[in-house]
Amino acid sequence: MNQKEFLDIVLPIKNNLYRLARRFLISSDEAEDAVQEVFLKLWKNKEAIKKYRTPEAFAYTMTKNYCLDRLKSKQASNLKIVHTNFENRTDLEKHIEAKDGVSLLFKLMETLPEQQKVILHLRDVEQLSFSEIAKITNTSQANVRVSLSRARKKIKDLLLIQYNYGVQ
Amino acid sequence: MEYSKIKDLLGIYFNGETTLEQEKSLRVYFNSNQVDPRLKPYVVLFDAYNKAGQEVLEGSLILAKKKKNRVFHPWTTRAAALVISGVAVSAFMYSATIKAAQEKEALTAFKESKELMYLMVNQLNKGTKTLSLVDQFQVHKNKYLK
Repeated sequence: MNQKEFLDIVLPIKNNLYRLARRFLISSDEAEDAVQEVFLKLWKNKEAIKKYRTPEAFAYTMTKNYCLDRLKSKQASNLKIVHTNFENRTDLEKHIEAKDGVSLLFKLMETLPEQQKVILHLRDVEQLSFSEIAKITNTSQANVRVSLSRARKKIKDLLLIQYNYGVQ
Repeated sequence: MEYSKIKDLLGIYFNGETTLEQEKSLRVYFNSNQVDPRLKPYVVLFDAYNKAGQEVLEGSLILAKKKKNRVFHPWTTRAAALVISGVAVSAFMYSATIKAAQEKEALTAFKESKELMYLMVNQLNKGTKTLSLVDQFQVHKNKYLK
């Protein structure tokens, strides 16, 4: 597999991978690094990609795993400290930020368990089919539906609490 | 779309049983400006998903073995190596020819100065030969003046 073939497979989904990484790592720089890292790994294992029927799903899974590793690793603990600092810093702006529903929703999404977060993202942001999501997350389609339903309901509940609170 | 229809669809949506088509129609509805006031809270939801889907990776990606270092295309490195070695070889050759020319020049200078020295020595020898006559003069002078 030469570079062109590889890029033909991987480049079309680079933004999708980036968005997925963004959901986990929040910072855009971190997400960019993650995608870069995943690309390097894929490039190194380019011969193995052929074996997968759906290289895209493989790339998604790799990104997801890489992000989780990052979060668990020591580097991520530094990252988290930075991030909480960042949140504290913007505490004052929280009210302003809360008005911005989009960032509020992403904050709510952060409270979800990893698997649910991935599934919700892949379905509602990337609009993938259940079979694709099942492949990426390595579960059955039925499980995907259950997790998706739970995630959506939880987000809805949290959103309604926020919304009603804002109204009163 | 009517309120009840959307409400039903939302119910299915939260059960995780909507098809991609149905979700698309929900998205279209909530991104339009004709959302029923009772459904306002959900506008944020679909707006956020929509916006999240528009994020793109700005930077370019690098496919190389080294991490985070911009590495040149392999051909450029090969070309650069060729140019450098070419320059080195030609510089060496050039310096070698210069050295040879310098050596030649030095040799001729040496030869010339050697010849000059011989010439000078010859002249000097002639001088000393004539000087020996001065001794004769001394000898004869001593004969008569004691």
